[in-house]
Amino acid sequence: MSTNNGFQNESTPAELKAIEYSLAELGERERALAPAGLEARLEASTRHMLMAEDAPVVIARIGHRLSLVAKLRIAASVAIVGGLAAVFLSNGPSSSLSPIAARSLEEDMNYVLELRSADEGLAAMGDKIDTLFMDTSNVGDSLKTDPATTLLEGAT
Amino acid sequence: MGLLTEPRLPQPVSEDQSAEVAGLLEAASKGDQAAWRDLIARYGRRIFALAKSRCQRADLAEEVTQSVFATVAGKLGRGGYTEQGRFESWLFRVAMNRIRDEMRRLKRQADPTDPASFGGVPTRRSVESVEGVMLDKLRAAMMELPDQDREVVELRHHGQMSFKEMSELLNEPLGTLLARHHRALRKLKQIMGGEESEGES
Repeated sequence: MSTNNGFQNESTPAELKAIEYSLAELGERERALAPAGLEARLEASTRHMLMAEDAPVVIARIGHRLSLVAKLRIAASVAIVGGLAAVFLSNGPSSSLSPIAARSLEEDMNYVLELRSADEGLAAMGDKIDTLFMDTSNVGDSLKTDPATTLLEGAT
Repeated sequence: MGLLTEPRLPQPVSEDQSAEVAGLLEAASKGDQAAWRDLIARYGRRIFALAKSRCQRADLAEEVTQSVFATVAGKLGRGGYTEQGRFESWLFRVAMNRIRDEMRRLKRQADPTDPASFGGVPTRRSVESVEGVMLDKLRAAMMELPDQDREVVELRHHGQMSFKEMSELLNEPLGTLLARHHRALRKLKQIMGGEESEGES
């Protein structure tokens, strides 16, 4: 390869020149056979990106960064709140409130049971009084109908 | 092979060209559509040819090319690019990354592709001419190269990059890239068999 074509440091051995030229031809053909209208499509699809200096892109960039920061903040907040809630639920309520509540409930239940048993006793006593009253009334009635008793009453 | 009368091998970018590209980039960053069109005209087909050689599909290659220029336009539009004489290296780095992403996506989809079939399907031009047949064979032979060697060949001949630019792009010493290129040429010559020497004579 000659030195006047810019390849002084890129020389190719003589026996390989032919294959190199063939590769150059292949590359040339691949470029030439690019689809029709390639450049027009490239321009059409990228034109708006080149004009992005009018500010929307800047806004988009800032928005993008803020959204990332916001996402990170939200994630951190959720993690902190969730952690605190988990600690509160697992330790707080059971250790401080349950003994008092349990004791109070137990006392209430005992009181109710005592009242119930007392009430049951009073009810039985009432039944016995009623029975005694009925017996007394029967005896009284039977005496009213007895002739001897009538005689005694007339004598008086 | 003797296929070419005037082979157009890639030339290193001159200072004048660099200054010209820098001017276009500055104008395009200010919304100059003509400058942007000029940049697309200079680099669009180079990126497309590189992507097509890697993906072997024109539709994917165009998608990749559009994605690359969208990245560049976005960067220019936001004033996020400062030209320091390395636009081409940056542009092709973006392209190579997009191509790699696309190749990974294709592999994930597990679309069965037999490399040999790429060269086996005759195109219209391969039917038309002997030269076309030879180029189709060469295209198929490239598929047999190790990936690193193939990458250098494609950047060089499809992307039209100089070795200096490739060195900046791939972050590899110039000598390493030259060695890879020579090794690839030898391998291709070997794959192509005796046709090379016959064509030469």
